[in-house]
Amino acid sequence: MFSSNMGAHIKRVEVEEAIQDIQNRTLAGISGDVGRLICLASTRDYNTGKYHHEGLASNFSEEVAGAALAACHLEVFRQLTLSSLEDLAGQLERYVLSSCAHPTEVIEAWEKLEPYRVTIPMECDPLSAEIFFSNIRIALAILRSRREHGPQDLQSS
Amino acid sequence: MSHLIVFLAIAVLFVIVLLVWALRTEISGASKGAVAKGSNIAERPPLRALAERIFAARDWEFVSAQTEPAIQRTFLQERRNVALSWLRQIRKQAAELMGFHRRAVRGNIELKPGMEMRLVANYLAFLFLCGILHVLIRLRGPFQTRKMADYAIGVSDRLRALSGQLLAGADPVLLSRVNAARTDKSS
Repeated sequence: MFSSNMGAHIKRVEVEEAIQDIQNRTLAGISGDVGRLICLASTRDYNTGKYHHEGLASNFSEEVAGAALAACHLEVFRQLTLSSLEDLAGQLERYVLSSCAHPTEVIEAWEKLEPYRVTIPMECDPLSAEIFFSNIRIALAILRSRREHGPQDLQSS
Repeated sequence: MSHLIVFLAIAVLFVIVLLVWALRTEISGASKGAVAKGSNIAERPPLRALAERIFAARDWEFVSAQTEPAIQRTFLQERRNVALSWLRQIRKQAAELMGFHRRAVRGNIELKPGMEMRLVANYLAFLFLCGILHVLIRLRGPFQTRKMADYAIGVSDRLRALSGQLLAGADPVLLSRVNAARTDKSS
């Protein structure tokens, strides 16, 4: 009993260290939470839902790395879900502008293909997912409208 | 006809008195976590935090100032649907809590009838509030119903706390057995 509690504690400490590592190295270089969400979601296998990160797994263990990536993914997703629509639109705009493709192309692809649907964590509840999808759809419509008319035109109309 | 009106008036008065009595129940702080421990309620979506987002007037102020009418209409429709989903979720959680409570107290000889009555009255008040909230969200949209949503969350918290108070002295083994049966059933 004591040794299993001790083992769980050690694992928790390791996961915390791995989370710090992800935040300081991987995520620190990405500007904006939308970019971070996509980066974290891309470390997950579509078929199994398991996370994999070569560098992290070599520093810790496959299991600890997976748990840390899942925790970071859930945290970034929660932040985006609970952020205001204005903030979300700003974050999405930053991500679209940081992409190599033309912003209009990115917005159009996101509206048609809805790639943001595969960025949600496995552990998220359906209601949070629904809010996130809804807010992203509106944020995309706002960005498209800004590109077509410009923010000033909209405010004056 | 006049008899019917008098009967209806007495019935309405009775319901109001019952609801006021139920909603004024003081909950002891120690019991608030009891049900959460026994019924895994803590694992559910953070409904209060999500409600703050869904019903936030700030989002509507931003959309109405920054976008064209077509986007505003889409946004209102989207947010209305999300608010109704939230309402379904909060009702579902309350129904699950009541189901859990019912199974946990079944066969318990140390029942407190007065407190159980309060719990049932609170649940009825909660369902009544949810009904009104549903109509208001459909008619007026989510941004005009923020206070009522807060109130519904308050009553839902009270339900949980009341149930916790009633189950505080219950056998933990029985509670975990009831919870395990519930989890097996839902999976």
